[in-house]
Amino acid sequence: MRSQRVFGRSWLFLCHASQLPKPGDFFSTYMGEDPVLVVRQKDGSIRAFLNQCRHRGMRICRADCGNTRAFTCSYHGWGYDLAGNLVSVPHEADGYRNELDKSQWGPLQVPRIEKFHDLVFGNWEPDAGSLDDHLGDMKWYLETAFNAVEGGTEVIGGMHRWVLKCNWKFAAEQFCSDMYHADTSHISALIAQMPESTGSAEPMFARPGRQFSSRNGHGTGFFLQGNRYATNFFGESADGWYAGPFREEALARLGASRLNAWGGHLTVFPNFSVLPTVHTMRVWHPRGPGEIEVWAWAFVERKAPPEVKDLVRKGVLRTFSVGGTWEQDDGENWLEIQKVLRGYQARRQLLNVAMGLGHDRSDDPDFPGRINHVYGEMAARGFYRRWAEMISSEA
Amino acid sequence: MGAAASNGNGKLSSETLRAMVDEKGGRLDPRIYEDRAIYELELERIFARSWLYLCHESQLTKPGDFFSTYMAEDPVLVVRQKDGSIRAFLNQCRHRGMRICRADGGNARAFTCSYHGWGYDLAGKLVSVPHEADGYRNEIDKSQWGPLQVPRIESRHGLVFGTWNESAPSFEDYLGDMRWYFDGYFDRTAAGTEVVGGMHRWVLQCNWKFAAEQFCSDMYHADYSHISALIAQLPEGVDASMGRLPTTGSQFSSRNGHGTGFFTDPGVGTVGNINGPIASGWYQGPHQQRAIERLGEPRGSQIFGGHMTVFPTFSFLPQIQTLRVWHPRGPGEIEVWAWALVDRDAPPEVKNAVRLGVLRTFSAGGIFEQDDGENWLEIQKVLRGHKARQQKLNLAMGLGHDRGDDQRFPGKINNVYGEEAARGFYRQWAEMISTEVPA
Repeated sequence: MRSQRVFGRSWLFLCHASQLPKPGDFFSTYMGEDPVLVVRQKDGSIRAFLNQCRHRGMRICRADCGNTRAFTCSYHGWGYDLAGNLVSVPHEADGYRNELDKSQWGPLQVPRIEKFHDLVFGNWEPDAGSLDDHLGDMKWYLETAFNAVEGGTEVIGGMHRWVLKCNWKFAAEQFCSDMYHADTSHISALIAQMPESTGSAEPMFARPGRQFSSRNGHGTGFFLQGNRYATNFFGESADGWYAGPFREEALARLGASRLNAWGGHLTVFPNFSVLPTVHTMRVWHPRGPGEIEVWAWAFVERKAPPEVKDLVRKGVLRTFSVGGTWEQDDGENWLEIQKVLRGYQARRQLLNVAMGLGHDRSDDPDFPGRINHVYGEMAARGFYRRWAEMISSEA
Repeated sequence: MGAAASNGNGKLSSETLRAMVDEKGGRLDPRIYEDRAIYELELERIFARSWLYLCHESQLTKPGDFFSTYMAEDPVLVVRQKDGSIRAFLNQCRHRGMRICRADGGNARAFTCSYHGWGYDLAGKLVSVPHEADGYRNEIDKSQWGPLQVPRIESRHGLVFGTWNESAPSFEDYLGDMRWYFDGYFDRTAAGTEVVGGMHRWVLQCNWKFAAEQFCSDMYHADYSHISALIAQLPEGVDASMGRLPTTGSQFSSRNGHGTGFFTDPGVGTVGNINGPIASGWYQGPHQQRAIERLGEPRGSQIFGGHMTVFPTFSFLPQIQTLRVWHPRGPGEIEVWAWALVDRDAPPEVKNAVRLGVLRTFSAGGIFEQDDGENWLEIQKVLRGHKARQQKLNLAMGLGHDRGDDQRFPGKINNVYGEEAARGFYRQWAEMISTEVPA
């Protein structure tokens, strides 16, 4: 399990804070392959612990999410409180002769949990640097999606989950660095969703843009175009909000350059990805070298009008979700690559990750950090460099 | 993974591997069928060094015609060039590893990867890269980023083979002493052959060697496994005893692991009529006359009802006319890709009769094919057993009774009911699997 060198010491996305509004609210998720329960405590804090009973290893809670006062393992009935303390053991007197020290037999706690705006992350490594340091120069870009207006964001429409037979890095790297595939892989989906009055797919992909690569393996890319914010993905009617009140407030909070970043993609290393304009965010949970579970949500500004929220929910459903027109295109590529890699010769070919090599700069007047052309692979090189550093360094 | 086959380091020594086949003692170690580590070595040491069947030339008649197939687990595109030659290359884009072409076959002027749009010409050269100017700043050397070419391709009697091994012998030398038989099966008429009725593909949960070895060497099972199918296709009113197979025949084993077996009785029994009266009327009539003129005897009319394998995975049943590749898919799975082969100048009704006959007998739904698949699947299931894997299997039929001085048939010959060719097949396998690929 070499992957533990990556997933065992990275900040991993757990949930959006809006999923846990009340004490006792919980969400059952994964950190890498490890199942964890994320629980809102009575004091308002969030804790997370391994969803594994220490008696015989059963999942402590089998529900996807909900609200509870306690958790009871369905195998032998060991009971845990919201913090993951083992509080009740059937047959404690007659079976265990009251000799069981329950304080020693709770599930493994996630030692570090930190938030960036509404995004909750956890880390198994007690001595890890802070989430703030980990996000580093990526925070400025993440705020575009999650701190554009007062009140922040919320997730809507539930969660979509699906399984793809491909390695997690194909997905994470593409969302980190790859605008390049869009005008080939997604061209038919793009054309299909153009308004009837539009003759061709010319509007989207010919624009100038930027790509950013973080020292910590994160990356993002986007076009430079501001005033048709939601067109195409949600339909024209969402423009009333995004080109109106949203834009006005966000301009004041974020400044002009970030408002011009449109149609972008981003990954927080290793496996949390967002499409800010589309309003989808997702985790690529690894399931062995050749499979992932995608867990995806639509997010929207909490203060957006209800009709806009509904447009966003449907737009994400139509484009980037298990049945989304754009999502299908991506999955097909990743599955096929994985199948090709069954080949003996296919595994021995080195792949090309050289696009824009040597042309990054750090003096862009509008965008901080290391910047390159929107069509490039600088962020992919940063992503894989980070991966290589972690996988080659022993825990 | 069969840990039992590996030493403590998970590595298989050449001595261990070679000892799994005891062709002199007639014993076989069944771990060769189920061990994942052995399978990975097969990809490197068997399939990356052997001549592998790619396609029939009749599938690629015009420039730009292409066929998407596999060399073991590696996907390759086989393409007819503008100069009439045939090239093949790995169906893997060098940008992010996507399949360059996703169609099974067709005609194209160029191939465009569906992920980022890298474009390749018919020869597999990278010729266009989207965003070459702004994204790549015109700094990508496209000549260095084409897919891996299959370095050697040869065609014999319309059958196209390729190998990854640049220093391999010619295909003719690879056939070696099998050539006389190979030509006898595939060069029977000046008009040549073609495949008809499209391709049939199916998946079986068994090791590839069960299938390849049986077609190489095993007439033995037919009288038993296929007896109900043989009886079922007898004309009404004919006694069931007529379904029994002939007893006189020979088996040939090639030094290079190929093999074939066939009957030599002067009459033609049930097996020669397997595709029905229209097909057998052709194959025992005009076809046979021309073969006698072209090849003489005994290849003209005294070899029939046979089976053959060109090592490792190309098999054919002469007269029945099914041709297939056993593509390996891990130690316990194969994809069978099968075609019906006919004389190019046969009358349309004969071609159709052969097509229907093959469909009825040896295809995904064929009555004989079912019998074979059941055996292979069950063996594979049995080999899940810890004890089952430790039992040596018997490979000794006819051991020591081979001869090299047959008056009619050249090479190493034994009785049609025997395992001479199986011993040769597994000896070749053992020699290759125990020989490391130079770094």
